[in-house]
Amino acid sequence: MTTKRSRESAAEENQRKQLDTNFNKLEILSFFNNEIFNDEYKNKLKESIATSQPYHWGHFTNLMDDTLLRNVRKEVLSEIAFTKKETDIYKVYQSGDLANLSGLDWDDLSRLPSVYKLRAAIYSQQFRDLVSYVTGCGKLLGVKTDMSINTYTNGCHLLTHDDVIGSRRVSFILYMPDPNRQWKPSYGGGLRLYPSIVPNVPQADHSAKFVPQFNEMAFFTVQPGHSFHDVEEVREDRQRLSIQGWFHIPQPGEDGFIEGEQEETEARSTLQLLQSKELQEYDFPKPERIDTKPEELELYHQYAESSDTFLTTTEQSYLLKYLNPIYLIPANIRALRKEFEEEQVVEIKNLLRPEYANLLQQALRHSELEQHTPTNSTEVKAPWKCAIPPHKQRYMYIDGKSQFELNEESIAFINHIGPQEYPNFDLVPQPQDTEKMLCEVVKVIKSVLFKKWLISITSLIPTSEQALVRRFRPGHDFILATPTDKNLARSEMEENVLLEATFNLTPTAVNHKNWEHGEYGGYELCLALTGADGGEFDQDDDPAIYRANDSNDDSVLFTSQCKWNSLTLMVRDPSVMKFIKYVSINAKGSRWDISCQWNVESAEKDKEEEEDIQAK
Amino acid sequence: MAKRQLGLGKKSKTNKKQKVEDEETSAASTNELTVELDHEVDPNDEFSQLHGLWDTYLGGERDNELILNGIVNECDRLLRNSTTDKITDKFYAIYGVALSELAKFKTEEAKDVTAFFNELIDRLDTGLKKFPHSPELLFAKSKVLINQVPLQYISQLDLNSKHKDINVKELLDRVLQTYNGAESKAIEQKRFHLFNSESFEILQALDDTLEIIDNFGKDHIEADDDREDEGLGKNSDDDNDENGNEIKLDEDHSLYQIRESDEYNLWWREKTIVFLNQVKKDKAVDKALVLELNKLLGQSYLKESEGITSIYTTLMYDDDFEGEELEGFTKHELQKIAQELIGKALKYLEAAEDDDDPESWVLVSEAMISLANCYELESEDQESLYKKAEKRLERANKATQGRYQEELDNLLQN
Repeated sequence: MTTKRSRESAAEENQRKQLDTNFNKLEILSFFNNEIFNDEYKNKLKESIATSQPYHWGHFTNLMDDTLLRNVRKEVLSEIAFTKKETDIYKVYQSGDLANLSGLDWDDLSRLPSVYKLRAAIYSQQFRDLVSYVTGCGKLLGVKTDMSINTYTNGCHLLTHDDVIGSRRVSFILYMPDPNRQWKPSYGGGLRLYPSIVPNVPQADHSAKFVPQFNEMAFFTVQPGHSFHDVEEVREDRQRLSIQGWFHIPQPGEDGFIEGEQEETEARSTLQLLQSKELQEYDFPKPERIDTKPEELELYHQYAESSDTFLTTTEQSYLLKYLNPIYLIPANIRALRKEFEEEQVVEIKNLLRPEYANLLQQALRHSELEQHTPTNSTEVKAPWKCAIPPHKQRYMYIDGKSQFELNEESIAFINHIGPQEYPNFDLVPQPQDTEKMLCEVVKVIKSVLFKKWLISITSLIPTSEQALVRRFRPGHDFILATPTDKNLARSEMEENVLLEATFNLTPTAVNHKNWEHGEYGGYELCLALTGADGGEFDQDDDPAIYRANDSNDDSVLFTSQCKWNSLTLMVRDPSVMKFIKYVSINAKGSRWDISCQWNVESAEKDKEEEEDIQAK
Repeated sequence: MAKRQLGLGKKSKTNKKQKVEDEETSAASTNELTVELDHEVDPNDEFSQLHGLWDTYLGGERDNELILNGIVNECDRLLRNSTTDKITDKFYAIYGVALSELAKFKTEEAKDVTAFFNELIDRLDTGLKKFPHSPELLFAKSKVLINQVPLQYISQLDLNSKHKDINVKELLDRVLQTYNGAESKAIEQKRFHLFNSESFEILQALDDTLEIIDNFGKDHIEADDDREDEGLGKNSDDDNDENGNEIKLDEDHSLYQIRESDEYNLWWREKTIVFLNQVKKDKAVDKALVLELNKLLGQSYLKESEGITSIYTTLMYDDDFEGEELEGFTKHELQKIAQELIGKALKYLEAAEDDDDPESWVLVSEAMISLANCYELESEDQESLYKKAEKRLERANKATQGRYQEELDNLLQN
């Protein structure tokens, strides 16, 4: 006889439903391809993970019951809206609205019955035990489910990171591209794993790559300082749909909880270590500005003091070999100075004179079209070097110094043992016209006369200098958002700012349509380092979250798409974060530029002192 | 005390304080347009301003209904207020085409679309009465007429629509006739600058319409299809995942005759060749347009050759096929026709090669491979073409970070 159910028992059942306990063991097992629970399969996988490189990782093929996962895919595609999200580190379509609900509510999956089953299966005791066994990572928490749905389509990518946040213990990605077609390596979208030079410093190049297929799951133990990985850009109009998530470390009161275990992981968290001075040793190139020589500085002061600050005809003749004559006309200089003073940034178009610019443009384009573009750091040859580490930056650069290997020993020699070099752009190898001409432009920028020209526009006297030639290759290069030091002024005389110049020399930007839409990245963007509420910047805020090209977003201070022959001068204070967006593999060519930084003194002081003396 | 440098970040904080006050003015200014005027024109001349506004619309994304409304209103006003000698054929052309562009925003209401087209054709006919020999106006009318075909007529058709009710062939023939008039008058008057990208949009719109007709009916079928929806991304076609089966139409269907005939495709090609020849005669040759026209012509010949090469391949290499002829052609006849067509395609594609565009090298390479396939196995001609194709493909692959690796591997394997 059926008994009347009490209100309490109904409530309990609801509670159980919330906790995914409404599937029994047999049902859970039926959601999987049962082969994965065979001892032979488990042990073989365990062994392969134990010997895997660059860190412990593995993958399941045909993980779920095929029909179930196909249904999951159908539900996701029909019920879930995806929104494009883009920051300095990724571009991806994330699950947003579920029908009319705001945000995907994992506690109400009534319209997604198959997704509900999938979640129950993944966080089931059986599967957690299996993952725990094959990885040897220890117990995994069952109550905290932590999954999201993403789709990577043409141009989407996620740059290098290690996934270390809070109690994460194992990362997993279950792939759901079109089940009826093979996902080819040429489509991109691979999961790439990076070995480390030393803990917390990933090497420039990945050493393992996993090309995802439908119903495969890649997973790895989250290892602070080691588990660096990225998602290669998808380069075709196809969807690499995936569910990704984490298994967490058991919490107090949970089965498998170990006192202090999570704290230990957190202590090794990369987030904390990222800022440490010790690890900045491995940043190449470093923001090293070489002091202006005292005699040279004196010249600049004298120049700034003179009331009709401008170059003589003889002085102009040197610059005229390279620069557009219109920028040596006093009226134009005054106009630039006015704009710079008001905006703290000025863009000077067509800076190089056309004859010289055309030759340079041809040389750069020739390099792009006719020469092999290096695809890893070992292919980068002198005078070029590869910027590291890749969880902060990757690009090719010329800094005017000797070559060195990107390994621990070599880096220790550079930093602590060997001779300390000054940059010399005359001495670096210049195998092609491209390098020869780029180094020539750097030498012009480093000249006394160019600095006098700069003083005329900026009223700032450079007291130190760094110049780099940079190339950001499609499908490889970027710089994530970085601030400057808080204290930039090194003396009472100096301003607490940097004068920065970016001389954009992207040859394919001669045709504006190639870059101006921003879809291929490569743009330089400045963000205000302030908190989400508009107050002071908080450590917990993600400074990289911005809305590109959104004029209403106050945090975006300045954006500059790739351009040809365009110099941007900017006064950068410590509240400005700056990044160069990853250049898409589908871009028409590389972003090329010359990047300069100067510590500065105000030239206004010199003028005022001079005026005071004259008044007396 | 000297003035201290603020820096970009701090300046932005200072600016925020002022921003609140400025909000109203800045909100009003966001919709403002910059109208580029030729250096030689008088910026106070209303007609010059109209031309500038029209060029701004053409040069932009063409999704701004407000600009179009502005242009149409300005045309109305000028027509009312100006003396007749100031109203030129160019004015009527802008008026008509702007109205036809505006019709694209009114597609939800069929009667709106019809009303629009009736009105604008009326405007153009008024203009043509005044300027009967104006190629500019005839080009404008051709453009309006071709826009009208899909927007006003094809959009109303279903699988049961009958030729006797809506005669699309007759409508297309009217476009061809008007275009022919425009073309011959422009050549006659040596107004080669009228063979520009704006006029070429007529031929492109015809090509698009023919494609719509070829694919007609697929939407109805696909709606019921259980195929998986790829959602955000549209697949590229290298997996033969296009639904290639044409939907069969009844012989008395409005689109049947057009679909069954090659007449319009051949007319398109013939006219595009004429167009290309005229573009080259203009003083300021539009190089980008020349490259584009050559590319389209090359692709058109290549497409025509596909059917022939497929029959030829069956005769040559299909062991199951017995016989010397297929569809009335011998092997050698087919080989000759295929070689001729692909040869022409190659000629145009080579002329479309842009040293700055690796994709254009790949098109040439693909045509070379197709042509090579029409020569005897391992013959000198075949090997030489493969070699040339490989060289181009390698260069393109290098310039595009391995985009063509798969194609290159396939070529080298075979």
